[in-house]
Amino acid sequence: MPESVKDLLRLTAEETYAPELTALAGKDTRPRPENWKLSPQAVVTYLMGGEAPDGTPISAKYVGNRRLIETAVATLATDRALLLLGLPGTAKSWVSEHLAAAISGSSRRIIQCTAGTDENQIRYGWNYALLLAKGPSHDALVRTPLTRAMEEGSIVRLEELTRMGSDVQDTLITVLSEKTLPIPELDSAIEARRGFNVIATANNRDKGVNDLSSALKRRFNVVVLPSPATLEEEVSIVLKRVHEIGSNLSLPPIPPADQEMVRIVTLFRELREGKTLNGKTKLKTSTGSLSTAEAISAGVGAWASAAHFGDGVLDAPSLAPNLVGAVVKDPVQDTIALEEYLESVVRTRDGWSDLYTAIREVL
Amino acid sequence: MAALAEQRLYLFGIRHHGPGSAALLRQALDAVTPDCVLIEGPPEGDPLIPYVAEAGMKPPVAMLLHASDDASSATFMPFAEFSPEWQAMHWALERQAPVRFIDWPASVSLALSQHADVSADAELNGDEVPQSRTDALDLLAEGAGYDDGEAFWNNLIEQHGGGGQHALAIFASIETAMTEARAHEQGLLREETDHLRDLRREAFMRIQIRAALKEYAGSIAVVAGAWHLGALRNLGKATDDRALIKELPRIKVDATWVPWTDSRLSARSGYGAGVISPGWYRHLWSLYSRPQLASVEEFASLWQARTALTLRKDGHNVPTASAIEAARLTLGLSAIRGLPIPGLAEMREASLATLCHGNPVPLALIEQKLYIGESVGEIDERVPQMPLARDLLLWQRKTRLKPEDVEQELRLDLRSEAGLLKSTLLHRLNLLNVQWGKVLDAQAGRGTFREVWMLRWVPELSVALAEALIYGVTIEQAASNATLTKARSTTSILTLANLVHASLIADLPSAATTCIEQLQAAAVSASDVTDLMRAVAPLVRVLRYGSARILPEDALRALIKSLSIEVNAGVRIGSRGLDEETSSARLEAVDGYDEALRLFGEKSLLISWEIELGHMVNDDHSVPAIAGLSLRKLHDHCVWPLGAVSSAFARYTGDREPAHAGDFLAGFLRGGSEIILHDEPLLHLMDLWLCNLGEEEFIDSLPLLRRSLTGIDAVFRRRLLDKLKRGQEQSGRADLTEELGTNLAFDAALPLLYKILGIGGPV
Repeated sequence: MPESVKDLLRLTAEETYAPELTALAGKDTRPRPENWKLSPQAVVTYLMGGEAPDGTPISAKYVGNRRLIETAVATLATDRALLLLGLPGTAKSWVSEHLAAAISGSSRRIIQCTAGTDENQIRYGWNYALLLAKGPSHDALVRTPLTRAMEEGSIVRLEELTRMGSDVQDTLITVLSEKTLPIPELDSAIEARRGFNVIATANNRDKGVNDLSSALKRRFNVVVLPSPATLEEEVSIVLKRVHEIGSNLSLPPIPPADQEMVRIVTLFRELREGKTLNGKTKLKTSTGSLSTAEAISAGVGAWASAAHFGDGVLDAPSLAPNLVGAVVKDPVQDTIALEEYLESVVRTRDGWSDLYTAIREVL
Repeated sequence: MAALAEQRLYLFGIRHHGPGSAALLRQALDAVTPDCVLIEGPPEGDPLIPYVAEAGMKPPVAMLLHASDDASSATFMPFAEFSPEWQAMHWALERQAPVRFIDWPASVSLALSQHADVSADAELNGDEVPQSRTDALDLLAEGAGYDDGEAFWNNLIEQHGGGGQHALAIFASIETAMTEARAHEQGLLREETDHLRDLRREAFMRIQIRAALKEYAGSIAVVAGAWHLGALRNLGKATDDRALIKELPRIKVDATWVPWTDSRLSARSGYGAGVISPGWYRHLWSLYSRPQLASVEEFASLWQARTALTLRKDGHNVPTASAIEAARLTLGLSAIRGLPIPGLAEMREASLATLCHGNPVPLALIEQKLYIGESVGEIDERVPQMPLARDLLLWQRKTRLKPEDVEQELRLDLRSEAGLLKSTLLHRLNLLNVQWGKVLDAQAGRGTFREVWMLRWVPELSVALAEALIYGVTIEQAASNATLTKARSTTSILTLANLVHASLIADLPSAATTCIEQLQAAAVSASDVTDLMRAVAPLVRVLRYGSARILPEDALRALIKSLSIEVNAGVRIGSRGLDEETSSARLEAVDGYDEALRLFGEKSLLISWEIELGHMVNDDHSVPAIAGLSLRKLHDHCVWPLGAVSSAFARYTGDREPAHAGDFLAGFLRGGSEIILHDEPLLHLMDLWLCNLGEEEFIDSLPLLRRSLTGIDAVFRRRLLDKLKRGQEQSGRADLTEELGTNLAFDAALPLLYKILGIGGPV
């Protein structure tokens, strides 16, 4: 890795896992679609973990149902656009980034869709200086990630597809079905090369988003990424990611705090599902989504405060403010939910009394 | 000789209901062209085999074997068109080759199970073959790394590209594998009875195989569950086998074909050798049974097209373009997973991602239709059937009712001939305990000429039909006799009354007449007035409204009269000292009886009844609730003047314990508390009583008040309160206002009142 990128805050997937990708590509003899860096099977291995043909261990990027990832890769291999749907924090963007990294070798072609995104950011814009000086020409086009991906035959990622207006979304229809983007001004078109494809993500919880038109919807294959099925699965995801992010941020090392992570995840799951893990007590749910992703950032936050301000051990006092911050998104309703949870669950649970005291202090 | 026999003997180990093994079996049979085909199954079924080729036979069907004298001791052997055994029979019949069953006779297995006192239910659910354990070949598939037995076979067929020699090679290796597996299993502990059962069955099979080898010079094909192969190859000594099956009990057995259902084939219904997805297997078979093996593309497209169609029928918008994409994704998925042919899992996941946009709900809704199927088999007319089954078939044709495997609502108009006929059939079947339909609502829309039924045919109904055979050979005759038998064996008023009612609506006049006589006789000696009362109500209804059917009106009228006389004579004494349960049943009965008597319109009976009501009110030993209800009836029908009512009311509420007063009030307000809203004098009575209570008494009676008012809904309580309040404001009752002071006091009491009335305060 070049010296200059070392101080980057976050490395892309293909940079972080470059050795794994190289190892997988090395002896990958299975047929691969044109312009794919890996065969579909190798892409699945890259996502789910395993071993490269030469014996290099491959870490798991996605912890969950392998069949979902297989469906996603098969979708892309059959030239269909992929829509990853799920609650916030169910690793949609994460999966999309790694899929792009494994398939095209780059996850950088990305469009962040917002309510302010207009057609020019999806199709192409004009360099007005050139346009005025020389008239319409290919040179005067300002390319977007989408058009670049079409030209080079790579994956383009559309983040939060449903956040942009429906009319703008529909720009994609021709691109997805005919793999071409007409430029009527020049009486020509940008033709997609093989290997071009779209991975979009959208969450199915938020209100006020723009639903896909049925014309666009049926051009996507939809894979729904579920919340982690079990406590163990979610804990392992949180542990892994907290460790990775923490190391990347060069947080001062602290003793492993697996037990504290279990507590974070337990609390998140219980408040998210509105009942205790054993299903016996019914609880109020919080307004926030309390996703795995938020559990991870609460974990990292707790690590940071333990390392910088605490006594170097991740314990209840360093955990409490981060937990409260994550749970209480609505100062009224969420405080009630948390209060109820504190009194009915945390106070009486064995070995949680320190957490009870710590959270009480913060509240 | 032995070596020769070995060469002539072909053992084909199959997976029950496996389309893959059915396809391979046909190839293998074509390659061998055996002189005789032997199939694992009870020999009593042999005479049934020729009917398999009849045009009218539509699987799923099952061979029903039952003890001649006791149809409840029965066993089924079901076949789908993709069952290897079914195909083997077809193959043999097409070539006019002899084909027979070689398993142990049902006469033995049924006799044994009767001995073992196995309940009929358990026997019905299990197959006669003990396949409650996983299919042996599924274990083999599992060993080969497949989670679905059929996927394994798919691969076998696909990889070997068909052809008889390949099929033979596959069956040979199955035999080797299963013999080996069996050799290992012998060492394991197994249920002793299971083991003995297997040994005996295999002895029977070997005896039959030996006989066939002697009889025919050519090759012999044996189609059996893979598990038995190891025991069938080595024929051993005939004397040993005879010793094994010596002195087994036997009973006489009847066999016939009966319709079976898709859902019963599927594993979900608990049928041991059941398959997971009849719908999917049928799809596989439709492709295997073609002359040319279908391409993978065709394979995926046909299934996805069917999924799309089913979704569309269910009201989902699924364009053809999406079905194409689903097929493409299916192929992509199976490529990634290294499967030569996509399995059901790939199909399902692709449907989910493309046809349903990731939403599992629509797919779950069509699962039953798509994966299980809803068809009910059909039996050819030429199949000799039990007389009742034949009669039912005639009825089904006459009434145009087709048995189906889904719950289905049927609305009948009894004024039309067709509707009446259907209703009669269904009622008669119910009398025979063949519950094809359930009455949901006998008077849909309050008209007595309508009936709503929920229909669903399940295979067990064939057994119930066979059981009913002891009563007669036509449905009418059997239903009539079954009713009579039941009527003669009981003296319970209620049962008899129900039988009268049932035989009337099932159009069985002669049975009805006998039941009526029985009931009349029983009524005289009956001790329970409640039952008598309950018996009257439905009979009156039939008499009054049942004009859709022809009734023995005079007999019925006489019956009701005599029942009513019994009731009127016994009700007063019978209303003393009842416990809570019987008195609440009695209350209901009094209500129904009162209504029925008024409908019946016989003046003298009504008058004597009203006198009895009066007695019950005046009788201090009457149960308070019944006294309350009686008083209410007297009041409602203006039998007693208001003065008499109010004094009786005062008597019951005034000087009794609060609990008694409460029961009385509850009885009084039963089935229509609205009355106190509309009946000013009555409200006044209650009001007066309440106001006259001392403080302590008032507090004591609070719970009972609350209890008496629990039967009243919230809207009504609020209206009641409003009315009382309005009464206050309008000063309609000046004395009371005086007593309570001003409205201020009333307002102060309001929260308590709300509580008593069980409603929230005004919001």
